[in-house]
Amino acid sequence: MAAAPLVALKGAAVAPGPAGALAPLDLSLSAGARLLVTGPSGSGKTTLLKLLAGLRRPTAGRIDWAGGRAPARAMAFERDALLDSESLLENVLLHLRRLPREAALARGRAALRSVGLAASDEEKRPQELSGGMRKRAGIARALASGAPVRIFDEPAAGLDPVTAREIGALLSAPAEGLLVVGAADPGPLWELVDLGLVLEPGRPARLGPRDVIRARWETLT
Amino acid sequence: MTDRALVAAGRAVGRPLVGWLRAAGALALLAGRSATALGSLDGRELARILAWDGAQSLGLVAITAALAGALVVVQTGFFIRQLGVLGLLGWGAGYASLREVCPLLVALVYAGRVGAARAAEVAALRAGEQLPALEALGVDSVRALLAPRLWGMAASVLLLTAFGDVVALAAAALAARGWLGLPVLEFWRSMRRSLGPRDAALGLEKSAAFGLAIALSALRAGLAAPANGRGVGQAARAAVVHAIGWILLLDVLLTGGM
Repeated sequence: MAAAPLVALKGAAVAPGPAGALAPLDLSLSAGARLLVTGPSGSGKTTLLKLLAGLRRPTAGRIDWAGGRAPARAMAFERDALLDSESLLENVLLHLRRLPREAALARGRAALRSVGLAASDEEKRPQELSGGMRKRAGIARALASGAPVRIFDEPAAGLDPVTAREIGALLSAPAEGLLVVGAADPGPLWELVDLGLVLEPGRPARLGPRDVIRARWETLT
Repeated sequence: MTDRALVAAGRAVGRPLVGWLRAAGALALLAGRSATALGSLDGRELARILAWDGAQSLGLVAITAALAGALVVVQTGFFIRQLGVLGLLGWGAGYASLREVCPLLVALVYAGRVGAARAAEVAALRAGEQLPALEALGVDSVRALLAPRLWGMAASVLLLTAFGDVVALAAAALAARGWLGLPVLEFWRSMRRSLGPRDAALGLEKSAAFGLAIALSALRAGLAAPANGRGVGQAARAAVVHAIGWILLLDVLLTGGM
């Protein structure tokens, strides 16, 4: 008997509006799934990621999480979305305030190191860093959360191929969780996942094993 | 009246009404959530807001209050001299400054200088996805970012008004000395004879209400603006317009109630 899905979208849709849209979508993901969502601009990738992150609610259909309650989720945005008024370290610590300060510092610093940011960068403000470094810090913030469900929107957008590959290698989620990556131009990000989902305006979404979906997507583009 | 006309009339009335109710509900929600966050505010963030929004407004408030205090004396001085009641000048200038002029002018200046900037900042935080990013990480953005701004702004207006009161009274005393030749000590005595702490307290009560109105207007404008570059400008403009409207309305209501 197949394991119950961790999350199931049943006809979940978002009506068109200034903050995006998503055509009705059925999708089931089991614990441990690693999914890449791709498609052209305006196809609803970010809207789907925000639905999974709990930042938006479907205007039609539903999203069911196993056990009736969504697990802790973390999302890194296309833009780094760091607070300019805070240092890199404080940005990472923002969501760790429930922990004792020392434990939060240790976890925050470890996350920054894991994405290749040095101790000397910790006290810098986001505007003092390159785009790639800010992106790394945004990813470190999501990784430091320890959330089992991790969602990354366009983690490699705007980066040179070498940095994009390095950043792609940093994305991970616990085995019992979920890794969802959205990208219009996935490139090296295909290697991280085992499932692919193509969203196209006016056409049904296509979900399948990575290699099948990748081949189809690459013939389309 | 045809059915179509009835529907059109219903829409004409209903849409603005629904919009207004939504805005009022969102404002009440923001105020309520900020109030519940009061006991666990991030002290560092609050101190930063007080320093940025309060301390950096001291110069502008000092100039505004000094000119307002002097203006009260200059405006009333002619009649005071004509009527030969120089002994009432301290009372008149103090009464007007403490109860009305200072709270009102400080609030208006603050709404233009800080309210607009904070609204633009919140709109930019939405446009840059910083606020959704916090929510996506399970951080309550009201508690972490908005409540410290709300209470920091409200406290700043109150403290700046108290500071403005002192500056306005000093400027009024100096203007009375220079314009009408009334010794500073005489001005001070006239003020002490007729005014008490209650007069200052009533002015500060007003400024507390104005401060909350400015802060709520600013945060709401920032949150309601479109999450893009144009939204930042729209938020700043809306914050100032709404804050001025609320300040004037509250002034009438509170003055009537005093």
